[in-house]
Amino acid sequence: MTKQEQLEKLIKELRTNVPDITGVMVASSDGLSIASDFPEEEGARIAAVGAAASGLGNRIAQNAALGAVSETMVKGTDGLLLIYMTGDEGVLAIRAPARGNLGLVRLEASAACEEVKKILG
Amino acid sequence: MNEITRQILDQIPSNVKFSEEDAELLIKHKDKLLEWEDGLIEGFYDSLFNHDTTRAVFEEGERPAREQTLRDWYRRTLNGPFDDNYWEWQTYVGLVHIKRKVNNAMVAGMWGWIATYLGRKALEEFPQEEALKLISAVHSLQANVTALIVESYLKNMFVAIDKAAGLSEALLGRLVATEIDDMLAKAKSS
Repeated sequence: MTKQEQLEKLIKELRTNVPDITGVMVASSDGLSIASDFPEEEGARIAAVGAAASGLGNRIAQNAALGAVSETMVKGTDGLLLIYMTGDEGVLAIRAPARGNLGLVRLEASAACEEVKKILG
Repeated sequence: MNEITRQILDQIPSNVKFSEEDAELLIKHKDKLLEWEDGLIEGFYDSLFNHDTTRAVFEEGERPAREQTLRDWYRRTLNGPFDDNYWEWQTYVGLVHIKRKVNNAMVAGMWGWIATYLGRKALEEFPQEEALKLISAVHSLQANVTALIVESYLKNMFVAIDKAAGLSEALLGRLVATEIDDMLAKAKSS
């Protein structure tokens, strides 16, 4: 199985395990979508702003002495976007409803992050 | 030569870039060009101080120091050599311009003024053929120096944004790419 296929399989599993999730994306740290099930018209923008949010989150953490960043979250009235670094080169972005099961999303996201790291290795 | 300077100069077509022949010509005529120095300095800063936006760049009483800076640059240019240090210095100016809030429109405008001033003087004081060669050399110098200053200004902005906000130049490029088509469409329709 190619890396692309492995990532697509992982995204499908994540969506199956947590039906609340409304979009998953793996992008490079410079904002290029690698694998995603976001609608195509949203994909490029979410990859770019997701990577930007992750980069900015890291700088905020450094400047505010917060230690290593485990998650960057943008919460709106209609939903939230969780962004995770997957090693130095990748980013995992997950969109979920604002009132969804955040605990479960985070649990699955943490496992997915480790998997993405291995795949992109 | 440092990486940023080399990268910028590599963008300029070789037939436009400042050449050995250009350097030799400027140095050959340096005595005459140095006679034009006072007029160049005075005209340059008169232009800047007679315009509100450019005058605002300077602090009270700063003009003599800035005039000396331009004088030093002019003499260093005419004395050569056009080595790595010289071009890296022009790149450094872009960084200084960020700090001093000297934008690229100001640089382009004032380099146009320098080229026009030196061109007029050349046509007044040299036979036409030699004057045209000198004008061409000045234009090539203008191409190199403005390229280094304005690109270094932009590239160093990107570096500063990356350092401050964690947004690499590649990522900024990606962010721009997500918006540029809409911006072009709007600009075209307006």
